Amino acid sequence: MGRTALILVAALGMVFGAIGLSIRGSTNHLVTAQTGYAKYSTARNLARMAVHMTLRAYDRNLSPIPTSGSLDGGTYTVAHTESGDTLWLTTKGIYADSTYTMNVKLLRTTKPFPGVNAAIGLRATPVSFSLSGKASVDGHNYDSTGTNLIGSGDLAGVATMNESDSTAVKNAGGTDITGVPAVNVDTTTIDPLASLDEYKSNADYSYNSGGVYNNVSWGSPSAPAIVYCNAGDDTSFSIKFAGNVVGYGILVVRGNVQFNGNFSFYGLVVVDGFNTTVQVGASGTPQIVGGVIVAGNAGASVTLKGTGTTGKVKYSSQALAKARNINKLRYYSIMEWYE
Amino acid sequence: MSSVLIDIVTSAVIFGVLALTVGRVQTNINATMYENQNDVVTQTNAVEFARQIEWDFAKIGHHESGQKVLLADSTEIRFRADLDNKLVVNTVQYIIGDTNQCAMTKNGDDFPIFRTQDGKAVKQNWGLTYFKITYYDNADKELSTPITSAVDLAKIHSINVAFRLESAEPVVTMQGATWAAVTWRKTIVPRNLGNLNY
Repeated sequence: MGRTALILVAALGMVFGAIGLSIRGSTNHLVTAQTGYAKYSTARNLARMAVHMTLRAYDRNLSPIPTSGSLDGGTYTVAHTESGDTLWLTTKGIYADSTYTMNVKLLRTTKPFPGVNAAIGLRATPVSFSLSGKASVDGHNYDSTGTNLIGSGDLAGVATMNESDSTAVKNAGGTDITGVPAVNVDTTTIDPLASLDEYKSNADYSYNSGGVYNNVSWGSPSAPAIVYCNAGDDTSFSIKFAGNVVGYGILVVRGNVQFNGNFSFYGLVVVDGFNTTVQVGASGTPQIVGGVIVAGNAGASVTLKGTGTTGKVKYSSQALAKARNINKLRYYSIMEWYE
Repeated sequence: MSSVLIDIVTSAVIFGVLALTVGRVQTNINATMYENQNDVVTQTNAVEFARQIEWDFAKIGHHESGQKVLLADSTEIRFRADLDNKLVVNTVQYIIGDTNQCAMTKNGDDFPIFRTQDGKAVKQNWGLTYFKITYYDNADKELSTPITSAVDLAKIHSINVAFRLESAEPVVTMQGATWAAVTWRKTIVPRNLGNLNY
């Protein structure tokens, strides 16, 4: 009896064991299929994230561009090459035992830019324009440093939206405005208002409170930056820069802003808002190389003061081209995408 | 002697009860395993088919400078893509069959799908009982099908694929016979369509 019972229990145990193994195998197969797809999807997401993160690294002028990283429990690698504005990325997302590869060819493209067909383009009309002191405006095309004339591509010193404003500017500037011609009417000047929000939100340097800021530098010739100076609409509320001030890229000015030291800005200066005064100081060689554009706020009042003898606004197509290529303001067109 | 007889009778009764219990358990386990197996097959098929769709559709238009999508209907799509990234552009077509072409299964609703690459068609019996492709333009507005003109085909920005797979054999449960089923839906934005920007 005892032996029989033992045999029965042993036989039953074996039967249940075999059944258990079979169920487990079936469940394992199901889990493997599902987790396999999850791992594959995660690896793919990592590869895509690697594309995004690499592009943002380009936007932020990171050097060197990161070539690997980890995220969400997985890792990714990036291989990148570029030629001119064409960019090749090969990203690999790795999660557990799954790997996903993407080969991407992108073209870095420039967003529409508020071009200025003069050293100073006045989009606002009517505009109150004042040029005082020794500030001068030159529409001849200089190189990106403002040192040498290129010899071609010369434009007007100041472009206005209508004859009435043109006459007012001629009277205000006199011989301090030069160019081909000194002043003209150009209704194609693009209103930069549509771009201001983007410049504001992408600004590398923001000044939103009054005060004196000494010895500042914004960007570099190879990595131009966006600067937003908002002194408000109250003209008594001013932002003052003193000492050596050097900037490259796009400078947005709203309100009363004074540059009292050695001021040099290379690129596009956008004057936004009413009653804006841009004053360049007496010392050094204050200059804006590139172009100035006044946004289309009706009745805008712009005063350009030069208290020294060498304050200049010089048109430079090269300086404007560099400002146009600020990485943050560029986008990427997909030429090829293989995954 | 009588005690030995009692032992034999008792052991026979216990054996009988155990045998019946094991038999009953075995029957239930078999049914569960059968159900599990159908689930496994259906879900594995769904995963494999989904991966195939993603693999193909993500490449639509790759290395094709001309018309990238040649035909777009709710149950059919024909497109051009360099599937292997070897500068050889392939023509790929997906089109569903009808239920008569899956007569070997007990499921009366399933139909095959034909994947044709460069003229070579492969009939795939995944157990599809529902398959629908929906097309959207770059404003996420649904495009009505069929789309045949090159101008309208060029408007395709994203493609939503939805399918339902069912098991080939019925699954018997306490509630009666049914089919193991998996539903999958995904919107794919082929990066080589529509001059996308990043």
